[in-house]
Amino acid sequence: MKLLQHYVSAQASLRPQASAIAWKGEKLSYGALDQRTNRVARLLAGLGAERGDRIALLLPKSPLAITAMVGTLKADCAYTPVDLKNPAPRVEQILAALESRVLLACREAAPLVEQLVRENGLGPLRVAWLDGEAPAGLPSHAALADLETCSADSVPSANGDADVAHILFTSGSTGVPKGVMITHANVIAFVEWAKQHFDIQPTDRCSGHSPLHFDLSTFDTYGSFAAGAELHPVPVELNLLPHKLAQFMRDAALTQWFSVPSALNHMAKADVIKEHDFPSLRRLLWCGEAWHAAGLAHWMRRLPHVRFTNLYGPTEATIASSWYDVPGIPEDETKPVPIGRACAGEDLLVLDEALRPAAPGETGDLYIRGVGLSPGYWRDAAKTDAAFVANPFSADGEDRIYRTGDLARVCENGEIVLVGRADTQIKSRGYRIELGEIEAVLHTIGTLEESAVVAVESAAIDGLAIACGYAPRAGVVLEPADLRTLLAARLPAYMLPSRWRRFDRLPLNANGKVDRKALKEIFAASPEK
Amino acid sequence: MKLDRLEKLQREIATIFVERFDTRIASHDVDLLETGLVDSVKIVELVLELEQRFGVSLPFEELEIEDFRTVPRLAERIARTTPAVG
Repeated sequence: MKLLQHYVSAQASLRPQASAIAWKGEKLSYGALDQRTNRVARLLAGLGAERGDRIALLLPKSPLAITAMVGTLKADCAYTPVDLKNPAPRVEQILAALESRVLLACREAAPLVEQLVRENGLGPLRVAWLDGEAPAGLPSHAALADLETCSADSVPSANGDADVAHILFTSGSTGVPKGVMITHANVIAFVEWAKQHFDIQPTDRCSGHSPLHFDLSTFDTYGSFAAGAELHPVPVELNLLPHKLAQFMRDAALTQWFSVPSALNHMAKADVIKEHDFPSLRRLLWCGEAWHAAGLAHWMRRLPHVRFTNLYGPTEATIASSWYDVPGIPEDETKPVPIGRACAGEDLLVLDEALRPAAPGETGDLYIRGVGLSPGYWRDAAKTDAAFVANPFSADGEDRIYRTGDLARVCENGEIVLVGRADTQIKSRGYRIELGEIEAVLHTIGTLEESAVVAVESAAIDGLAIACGYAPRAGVVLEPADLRTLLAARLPAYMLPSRWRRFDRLPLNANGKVDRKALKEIFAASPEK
Repeated sequence: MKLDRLEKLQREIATIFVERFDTRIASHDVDLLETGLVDSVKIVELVLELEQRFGVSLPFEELEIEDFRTVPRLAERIARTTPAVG
């Protein structure tokens, strides 16, 4: 395969009636998906989108959003799925960075679009409403009726596999989200490896648990399409109630599940997985953060018929770069589950500060090399150069390695185990968060004298809890709930601190800077609510 | 009578959000799910707190996602569970 959209068109010519996507009782066939995506590509061209343009998608997880993704690729453009739960200022940052000409939206995005228009206008951005007529009073350059008049014939493409397929935004430590460019070749390399490794078949029914603005969803979508399997996007709200999530898995008779561990722990804690539950399930994959062996063991005991695989890799290296098939129920539940070995075409390197291989068993910085490496951050050469460096073991100047920021060690058998982070990036319930991004927003709040954010262990959540210490200016009354409201206007909900403490002055170290270690200890010593 | 009781429940639920989650809910229309004010972690704490405070039993498998959509919905759900006293 050369381009990602070819997965859809290939299935459409082989098995046009086969179901590509199952959603809320309805099915969308590969034939229909192929035709609809052709229409989207023509609509985009009609709106002035040109090869290489970035198209922002303000669409909630749905077959429509996936149609817009593939249609964008067919127009030789790159897409960015935008989380509709983001506050408008953050969406504005993303739209400004992308310099898009066209926005694809639906009615659910109307409140967000309205806010964007009210605050700064949309400038030259053209808006297409894909699910009906434009909501009253909002800009509209096309609507569903226009889409339906576009031809469904196949669309020729000029793109090659080194062209960017999508740009996914992750938390940025300076307060601005950074866009990771992912090429067609990046995704195809992982999908082809995974299709073979997991033996994905047309009879498979694959979960689509991750939100579409997360890198993991790329595998759900294109992994499923590559095999001609049926994708079952999981409605987001099911995550709230573990028994509903388990019921979804049962009703859909999923054969493949892929998610962050927190969704799995949520179900384990609520004890909603029965012995030999999900009889159709063949494999369960997780990625995004470490899964405690205790949670894994619970699932493995309940589902002896399922193959469990840990996948590891940051967005910058596309979906995952290493795999570990769990050989049996972990005996020692205090030991970390290895991230295993590199996927085909990739290398995992544990290096010391001078970029020399760390001795076996010694902790070093984890670098990734190979087919998954993104070309870099969208229009940010400085950040790209800092994270993607020349491979010191190669004479080829184009050969790069990506510094993940994770600390790791190599075991005697060659498997790799994660040890921690070299910076203040954290994982909280599978979300990747730069504490610096939260601090950058705090620093814009005029009523604060000082503020700092630290991550602390938590009994209630998987990963770490975000804790904020702050000192208001003299004479200012600022309750945690007030500060939270201010932050919520700028940051997505998952980045908001869950623990707060007001100080007269924050603890300082010998250099007169905020003593984060002391702050962390204060939070650790005081009980969670 | 019944309206009074619902209003009281709504006020108490709003108080729980301030005390437990440091969150002020701007109005009764606020969609707690869309805004992330209720998420998969908080829902567990919230249900425990509601059970304790109102002396009701709210087994997870009897709950619907829509029960958590807004403060008034949550109040109605609890009102259905508790016998009206006073």
